[in-house]
Amino acid sequence: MFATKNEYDRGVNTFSPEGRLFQVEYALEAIKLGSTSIGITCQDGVVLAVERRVTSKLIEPSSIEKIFEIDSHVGCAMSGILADARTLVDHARAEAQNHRFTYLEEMLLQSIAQSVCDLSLNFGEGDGSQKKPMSRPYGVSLLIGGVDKNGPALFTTDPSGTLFKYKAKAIGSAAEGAQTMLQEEFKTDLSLEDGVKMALRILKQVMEEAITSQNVEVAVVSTQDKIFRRLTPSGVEEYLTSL
Amino acid sequence: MAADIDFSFLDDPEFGLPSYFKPKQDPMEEFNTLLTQEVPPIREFSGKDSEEAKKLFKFAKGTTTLAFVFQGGILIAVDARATMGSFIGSQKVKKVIEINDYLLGTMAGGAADCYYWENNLARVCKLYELKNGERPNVGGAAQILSQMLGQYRGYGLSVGTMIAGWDHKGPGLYFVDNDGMCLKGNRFSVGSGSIFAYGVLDSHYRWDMTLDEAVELGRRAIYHAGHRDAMSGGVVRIYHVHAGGWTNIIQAEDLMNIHRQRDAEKGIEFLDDEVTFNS
Amino acid sequence: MVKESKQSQFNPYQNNGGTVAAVALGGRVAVGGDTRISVGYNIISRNYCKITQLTSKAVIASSGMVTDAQNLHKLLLARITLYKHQHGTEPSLKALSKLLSITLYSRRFFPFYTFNLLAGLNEEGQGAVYGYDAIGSFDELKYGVQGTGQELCMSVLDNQCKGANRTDDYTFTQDPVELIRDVFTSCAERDIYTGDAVTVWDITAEGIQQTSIPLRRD
Repeated sequence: MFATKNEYDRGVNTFSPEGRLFQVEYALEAIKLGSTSIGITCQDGVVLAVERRVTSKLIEPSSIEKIFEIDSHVGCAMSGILADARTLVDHARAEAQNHRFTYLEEMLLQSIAQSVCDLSLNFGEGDGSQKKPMSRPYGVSLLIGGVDKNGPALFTTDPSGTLFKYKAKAIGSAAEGAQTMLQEEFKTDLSLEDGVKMALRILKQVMEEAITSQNVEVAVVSTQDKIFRRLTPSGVEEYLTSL
Repeated sequence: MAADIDFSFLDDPEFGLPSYFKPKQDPMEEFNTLLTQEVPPIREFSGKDSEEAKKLFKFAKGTTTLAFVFQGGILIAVDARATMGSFIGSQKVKKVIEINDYLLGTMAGGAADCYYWENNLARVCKLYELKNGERPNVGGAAQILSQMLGQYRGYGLSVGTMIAGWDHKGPGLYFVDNDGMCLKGNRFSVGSGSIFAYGVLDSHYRWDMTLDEAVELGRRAIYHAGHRDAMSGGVVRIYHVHAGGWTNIIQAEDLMNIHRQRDAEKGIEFLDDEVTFNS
Repeated sequence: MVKESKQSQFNPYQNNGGTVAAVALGGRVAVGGDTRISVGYNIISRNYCKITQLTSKAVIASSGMVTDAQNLHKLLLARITLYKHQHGTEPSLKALSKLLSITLYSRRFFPFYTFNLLAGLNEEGQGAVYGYDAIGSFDELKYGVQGTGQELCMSVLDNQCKGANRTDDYTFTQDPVELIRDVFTSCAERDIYTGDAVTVWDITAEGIQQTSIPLRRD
């Protein structure tokens, strides 16, 4: 039936004889085309930083939004297909609010990330209803970071629905280079300030364009108030000049 | 001709049984909905046939709540008594529901109904904020609540709530009830003691009151309602809605305190004012 | 035959009577429930426990209709097990308080005929009691009573625990377990639906201790 190896990638849920799901692997490739995102857990919070790719000078940079608030204590940065990210983020937001509604407490980060993964692998032929909203894998990877009752934490999800907890992680086109730098520079006693600086320093090195306050997006969640905050362009500018 | 009449219902083993008595097709269905439900499933509880059953449930009710807009924002004052029949279920119910940092709702009617739906409103408002990058305005929030309640119209919910908050237009005060009514206004009082509270409120209300005067007016209105209405009482709680959100000005002041204060002002000895002995 | 006239008589509920009470003091909470079950004026059980342990630090005590209470307790236990698997920890007392409210409200149009007390230690290790009506309205309390003996017991607890309307200088220092025992022995004297025995659950940071104290059996 399958004449060549390549035909195993026709069905989204078809294994190849070697045990690979090609469509999922292709989705992982889509992430490598995306802009670079970095997440770092610090002693007193979590940093999320994303490169904005401004491909034309006619684009309003502020309209490119790659960091989302999931709940007041959790944020999320993405690499890959933006529209797919929105579907996952909407799901995570609803889960987080439903948890608050049912248990009168904030949802644990691990549980939020897990709920995203549950949806990630829920693709395939369906009626397009709420139960199966997607016919193909989601071509997006998320960095879910925030502070819950167990302290600051950072999780990554990818199209295969795999969940990992990281101290620091980079995803997207320059993930490899950025991850090596994180590996060298990361310390467990990092302060939130230093975390922001480290994320920007790494972005500065891996980005093709020169870094400005317009083409990066930074958000933090501090352990002090557990509130998700975006840095304003002027706030980012301050950090950039101090690099 | 007889053949035109459909007698197939005679073959239905469940014909004539009340809807809630019918066995479920999927025995796990209810369990599953309980695990994932967002709103309670509509199942008709009795209507005319079991008034008796309804009487078994002494749902908490009876209240005085009031809110008014004045130059300094919105003032909300409530009592704290919950009665179940003639039994006082609690003297310190929280009848102001802190929906979120910029919205307050009051509780009159069925306590569980108000609490559940106003919490649901909080959830919807937060999702709205995440999606749109800004909070719904007060009128919008009130409208969302009234639509949610409107979907259950005729099913016996009992809600009379005032939604108060501050948005880009300034203070917003709305009254929402279980039939889906949604009214904007400057002065509302809801509950069994509202007739007494309105009397005080209407005669002393001025737009240009200071905050202290407003607090005193709210406190007085609740005191008089608690004094005359047996279903109201306990403690008074007062909230102030302003541009920065809301502040809880009086957390819980016992109505007996206010009564003693008034007696002292009038020079009346406590408990000695109205008792006449038969001699 | 068409079953027609049954409909208007149908009442799915009955009150099986009994009283449950809880008193919190500092890092301790005592919960008591009598063990009598009645149908009308017939006593059909003398050793039914109205209290179920939900987590290592929380119990639920229900009066009202036994079938509904059993269903409710099982449903809560199932949801707590799911919570543990999903989130890796036991739900806190506060989380349970809202979960119970939501669970009761999910049957808003065909309610559980149960009147519940949720008692345990909160995240700060302090004892707390939550009182509920049949459809999920709830409140955090220091002490609470539900059931046929509510009116009899509540005024005693108001006086002993809160010192409500007392004019003397009073603070509550009594052993909560002793108070529960006193309240139930008194209640059994005047309420026909309360008696036989009272199971007392003493919840502290060390764990939960259960004791059973005999009451009047007539």
